[in-house]
Amino acid sequence: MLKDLEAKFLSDFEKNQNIVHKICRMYTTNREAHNDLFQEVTIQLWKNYEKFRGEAKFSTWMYRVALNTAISLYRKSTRQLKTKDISAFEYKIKAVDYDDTEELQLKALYNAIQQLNDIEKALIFLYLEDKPYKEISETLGISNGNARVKMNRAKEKLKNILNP
Amino acid sequence: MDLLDNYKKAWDNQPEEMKKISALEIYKMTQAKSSSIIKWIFVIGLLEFAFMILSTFIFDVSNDEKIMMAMGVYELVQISQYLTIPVLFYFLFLFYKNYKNISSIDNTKKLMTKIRKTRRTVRNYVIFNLLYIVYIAAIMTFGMVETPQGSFQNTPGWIIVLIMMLVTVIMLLLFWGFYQLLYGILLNKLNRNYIELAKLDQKE
Repeated sequence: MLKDLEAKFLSDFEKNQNIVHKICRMYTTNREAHNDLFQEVTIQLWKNYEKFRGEAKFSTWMYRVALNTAISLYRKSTRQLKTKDISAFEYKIKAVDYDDTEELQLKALYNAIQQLNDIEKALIFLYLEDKPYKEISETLGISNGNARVKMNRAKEKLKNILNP
Repeated sequence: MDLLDNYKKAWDNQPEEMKKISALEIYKMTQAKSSSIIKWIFVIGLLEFAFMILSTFIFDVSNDEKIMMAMGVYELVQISQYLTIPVLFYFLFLFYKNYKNISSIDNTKKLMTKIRKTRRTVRNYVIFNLLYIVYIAAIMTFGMVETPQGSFQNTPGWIIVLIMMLVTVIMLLLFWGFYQLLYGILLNKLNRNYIELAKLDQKE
């Protein structure tokens, strides 16, 4: 029974791991911390997997546990040196019609996000991932109306960082 | 087009993480020990309880007991010691209940509230112990002034009170400072984020 559950978890997680990588990239500034946070998220996901029972989509559930870990449970990120250099991250570059505009934009976007506070990061991340306000407010535990207002504010802040 | 829309497009087209973690590696990670804040609060909390219990065994109090008996306050101290046992279990129960209640599937606000509640239980236990120290110090001072012992025999009462007060205050400050530092380091980020989230949820 546990073996089946484990196998299902591993396959679900492996497929959806990109969500966690994105969160790690936002909340940490170097590879070591990235891996460290990834590991803690994995532990938290596995620990709660039995309670998951497929009520929501696996990915939706994953967003919540991963963000909670980054915001509330993970302890080490504050000790990391604050650096804007994220070149240490290696990403696949699409070989077809190669254009580095988007790659540079993505880098700039991550750099800008890293300057937001932890809660603003979560708001912006959920916006970028096209999450509806209902899900955003439920994930963070704030009212729908406040989620909207504060989201606009976080977006404005991000725009100002991107285009001072 | 909005400035953010451009970046949003780059986000949507963002390539997959290159260093994909394999199922085997994920499996290994699930077996690893958590180093989350909850875990730390739990471990430190248990250590505090253990320390408070063990300290009654470690320190040799037979000499103190003799002094207390001579001063006629021994029973007062002993009764209060028995009374602290149910209080200790009450705190242990609360602490464990709070800890068990914490789940990373809760929404962020709820999770933070629960973590802070667990930490508050431990803090209240510490405060209880500090108050107990004050209580014992008060009894001892009273006993010393009434029936001075040892080198205090020729010392005026007000000097005894002053010395005892000074010693108690220093002890309290040391303990309190230690806890503030410990939890300050541990919960610094959590508290900051809690305040940010609370600000977020304030009515406009």
